[in-house]
Amino acid sequence: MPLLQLFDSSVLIPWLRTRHYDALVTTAFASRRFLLSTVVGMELYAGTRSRGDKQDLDRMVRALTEVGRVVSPEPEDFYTAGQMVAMYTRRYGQIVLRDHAQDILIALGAWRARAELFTVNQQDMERWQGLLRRTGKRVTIRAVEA
Amino acid sequence: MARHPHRVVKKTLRLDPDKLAQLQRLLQTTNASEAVRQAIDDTLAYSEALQAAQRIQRRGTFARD
Repeated sequence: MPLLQLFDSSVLIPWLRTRHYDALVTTAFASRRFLLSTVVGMELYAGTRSRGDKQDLDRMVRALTEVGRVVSPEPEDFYTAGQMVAMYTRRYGQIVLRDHAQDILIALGAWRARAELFTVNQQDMERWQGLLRRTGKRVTIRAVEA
Repeated sequence: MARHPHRVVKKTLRLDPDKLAQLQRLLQTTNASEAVRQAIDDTLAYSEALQAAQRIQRRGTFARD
């Protein structure tokens, strides 16, 4: 079974806004490998500016949900996210949880679904990839050029 | 994330048995009918999801202030 592909909002917001990364994302749909994270979905809903956009996002989410292509954080993932921030703070200095919680939850979603995680924010995601690896959670990051 | 139950009917289809077996293995289904149903469901769902996304792109209002 080919790996599923999870795109974070650094890819999907420009894709929906200006068709950036169109070939990459459209291919994921065509090959039926596209996986949506509810955390990314939340960020997409925040970007809707019209009733039409909201309704179409509803349709997109509903269609993907019906075929099981939506991944959502488990309760344990929130605790893990807090631990990742604590681990980072102990090693490298203070950071703010709310600035990073979504990225960590998205990375954990990719780990749960054994999906490749596509992001423009390679540096941020690789930080969490490294710390998650220390807890036995391997995430594959695919860097997308901005 | 359960799939929605749909009405099903019997249809006689001419299919390549090797490809059908390959599809069943790929989708990890317990029988050939389930494999075909899942392939159809997935294809239609992804098509619907992509079309909805493309309408958002064409509207040109997403994430614009």
